[in-house]
Amino acid sequence: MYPDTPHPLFPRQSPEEAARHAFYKDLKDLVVAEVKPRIAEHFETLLQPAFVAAHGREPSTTAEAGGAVSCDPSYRWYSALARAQHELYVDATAECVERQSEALRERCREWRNGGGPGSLQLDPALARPDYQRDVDSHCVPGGYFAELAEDDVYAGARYELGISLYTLGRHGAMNDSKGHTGVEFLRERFSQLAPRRILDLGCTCGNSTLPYAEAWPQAEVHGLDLSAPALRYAHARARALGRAVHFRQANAEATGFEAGSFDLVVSHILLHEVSAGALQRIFAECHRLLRPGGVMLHVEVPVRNAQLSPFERFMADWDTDNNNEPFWRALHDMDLPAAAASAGFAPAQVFDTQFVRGARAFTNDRPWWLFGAVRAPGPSP
Amino acid sequence: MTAPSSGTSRRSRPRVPKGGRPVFLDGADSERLLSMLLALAAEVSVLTEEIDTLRELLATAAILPPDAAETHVPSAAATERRARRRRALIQRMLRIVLEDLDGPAAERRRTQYQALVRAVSR
Repeated sequence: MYPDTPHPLFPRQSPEEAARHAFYKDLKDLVVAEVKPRIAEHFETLLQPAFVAAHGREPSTTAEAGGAVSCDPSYRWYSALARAQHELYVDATAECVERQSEALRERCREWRNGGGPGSLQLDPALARPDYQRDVDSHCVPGGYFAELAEDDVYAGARYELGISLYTLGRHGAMNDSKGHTGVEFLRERFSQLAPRRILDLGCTCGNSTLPYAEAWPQAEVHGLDLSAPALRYAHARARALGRAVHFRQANAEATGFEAGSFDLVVSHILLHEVSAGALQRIFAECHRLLRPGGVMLHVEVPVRNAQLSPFERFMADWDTDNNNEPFWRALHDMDLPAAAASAGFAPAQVFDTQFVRGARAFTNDRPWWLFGAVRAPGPSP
Repeated sequence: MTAPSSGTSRRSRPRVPKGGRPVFLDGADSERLLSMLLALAAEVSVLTEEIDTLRELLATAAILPPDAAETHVPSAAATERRARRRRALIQRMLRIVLEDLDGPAAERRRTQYQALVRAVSR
């Protein structure tokens, strides 16, 4: 077995598995670096000129740009290769984790039962909302929820291994660049913020949560998610890394925490996996949870359709229809400042920016999008 | 997805995601072939790394020098064996093409077969 893993509970890869995963990683790298750019080249040199010749103007809508592009071999082959690679890498990593799932479950149980920092609170009766029940996010069979036995960590462990390959390792060995970006942004923008209680919504394995525990070691840090296997894995993972995080299975729309009990509520690539209605309710819940002066921060995939050309919007929209991300397009069209205002945040307290000195999102190699607001004094609506 | 209750055996991981599958090439069959081809290429890569591992181990253990494979001259028997296997592999891979490359002949065989179906059914 390869001994080099970022932490003791990271799924282990046999030499055969590591070689297979390396192939799929390099395949994705080449497809993105060498096949995908041909689409823009063909658009500039062939497809847009053809559209102009036929219509007397450039494409003015996403649909028009998509119509010009989607029949072109560059788009068809990029898409076919990207989708095939994705399915094959998911299957390979799933097989690797399934092989060791019993052992991982037992090791996580030992960490859970052996005492240590943090805690785990599960709710077997928690209903899964439709936006996570009716989709397998990222075309992963079982999504975030697959369990192969009682007390399982399968879906969480597969996520941990999978995300490192999906992002070609560009989100850090611990898959934590989003959390570090959030911390660095907060330190720069809100240098006086000294949070005593922090909540990470949709924390999955806790990979984005731990940077906050590291940055503010005196704070009480909480991680919340819908998925029991992800939380069991996250809890053991945090203990193995010596960090105190209190993990809770709950819905970010209604967390069950007391009003005004947090100084900082964050999320990382949560918003594009909910729904329009849920996002509104999550913002309202953030407002309710924050004390006056507290900060809501959402780190998200840096796509804002209003800032993109029709061609760019069409390309940015690929994941909606081809990667089981049903809310992707709608989020990138959404007026988030208006949603924050509806949730009770004063418009002057809203921030909507990119942290250009931070890490970059794999999806388009741009700085992470940071949206949030400061809670002004006064009751929630 | 609920987990099996305590005392039951582990179940297998889910294999197929919800959501159906988009088609980008000229049909779903082409997409399947592409996926099969990429999976096969991955296994070729895995084998290549295993061979590299074996070479490195043999060299480290001083059983064989690192360039042993490069300087090896196969025996006449080995040469013949390799040639047979190579041609057999290529023929297996090209079978479907060799069978169906003559379009009119293939069409005639289908027509003859359909006539046979009708004949035996009377």
